Amino acid sequence: MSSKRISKELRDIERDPPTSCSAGPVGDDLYHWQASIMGPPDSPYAGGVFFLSIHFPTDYPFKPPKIAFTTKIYHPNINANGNICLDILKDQWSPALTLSKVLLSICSLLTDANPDDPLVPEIAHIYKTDRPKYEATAREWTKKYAV
Amino acid sequence: MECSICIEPIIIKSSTQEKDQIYDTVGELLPCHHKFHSDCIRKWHSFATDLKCPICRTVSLSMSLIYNYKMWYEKRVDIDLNKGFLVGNIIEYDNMMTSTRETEPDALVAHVVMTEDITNESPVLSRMFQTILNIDDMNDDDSEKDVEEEEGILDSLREEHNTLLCRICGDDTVENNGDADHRCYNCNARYHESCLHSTASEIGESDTWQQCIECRSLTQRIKGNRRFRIVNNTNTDELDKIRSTKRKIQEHVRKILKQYYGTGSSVHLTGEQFTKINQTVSRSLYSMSRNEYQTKIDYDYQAKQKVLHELHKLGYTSV
Repeated sequence: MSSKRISKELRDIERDPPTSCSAGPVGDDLYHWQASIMGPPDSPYAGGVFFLSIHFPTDYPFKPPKIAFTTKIYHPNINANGNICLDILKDQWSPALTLSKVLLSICSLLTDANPDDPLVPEIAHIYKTDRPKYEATAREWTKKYAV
Repeated sequence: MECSICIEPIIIKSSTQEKDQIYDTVGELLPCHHKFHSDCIRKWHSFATDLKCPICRTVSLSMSLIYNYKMWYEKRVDIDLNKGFLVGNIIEYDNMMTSTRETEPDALVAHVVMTEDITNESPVLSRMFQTILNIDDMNDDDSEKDVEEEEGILDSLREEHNTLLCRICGDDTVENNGDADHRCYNCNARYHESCLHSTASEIGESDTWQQCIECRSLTQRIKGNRRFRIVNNTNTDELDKIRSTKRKIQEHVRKILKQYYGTGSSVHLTGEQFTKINQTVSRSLYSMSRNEYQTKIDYDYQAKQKVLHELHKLGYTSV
């Protein structure tokens, strides 16, 4: 089922792309995609374009896709390797989710971080105690790596 | 209506549809009433760790299977989800499907561990094992592609474990030591005899209780249904050993058989006959070898005898 469903998702994404995201296969491999997310305007990531790599497992959609940022980003739930701490990519995965819905969730994670379940505790600490400092650093990283 | 697991349409009966339309079997979760293709939601339940609806995350207590028939009616069968579906990777293995076959369990049975003792009678290969055998038998070269194909089939075999679940109750239990199992050979469905009876009386059709609830063809009673558990991590060394045994044996068979094929031969076999004889003889040698290449067996001699026997059966009595 996996390749059929991935092709279908690709067609849907091409026909009706989600706002501020794009995604598609890298080369001929239907199971390996690249996506880009525009930094949300109401966030310190505004103006940046962030790239992600996506690997679909062969038993997709029964197992979640593996998604990681390839662009460096300063965020409490995203670590230096680009790994994302997001429940729907782990135990809260549902086969009714599509890549396009997942990308939108990642967008909203950029706007609203979840410092209570951090992947990088240091960033989460600054986020909670000194919000202006967190925003300044996030803006600086965006300018440096994502513009 | 679309199934949100495969993102394909769910085809159900409506007044405007054509006569020969095939309708999907729908699985409707309760209490949330979200609908999926029954195969899709069943497959999700074999992966999921809980029984939450993929769409709304409401914990499902039961599922209605909705069967739509061409000219018949919509029929609902309720399934208690906690009883069914959450079974492990088990596949079924039928014994004594027919008594006319003499096939021994194939080497690939080595992948499965028996959960019940095997009897002395020769078990008959199930359809899925048979498919693997056929592919192996017909390979005329040892290309990578064939190996991949064989492994692909093994994978799908693991996925087909749900064919052992009773289509009505969704449970995999064995009643009466497996002597009360029914099978629809048309759609490869399994039923408990008691489930067939109770469903039939519920819908007031007790005289047609033996019909498959999906395709309406007559189910057959299987005696002594044996079941095997698939070893999750297939030992690749073991696989290689089996494969190499099969190839060695087939080399002997082909060597003999090629003398009777093509120009210059007194016998004019068709490609089909060649394959058929190759299959029959190889299979019989596998069973003789007990899944391992035996140095004490004279394979060339045995292959020749068996090939001649098959040729005689085809009417080539002069060879």
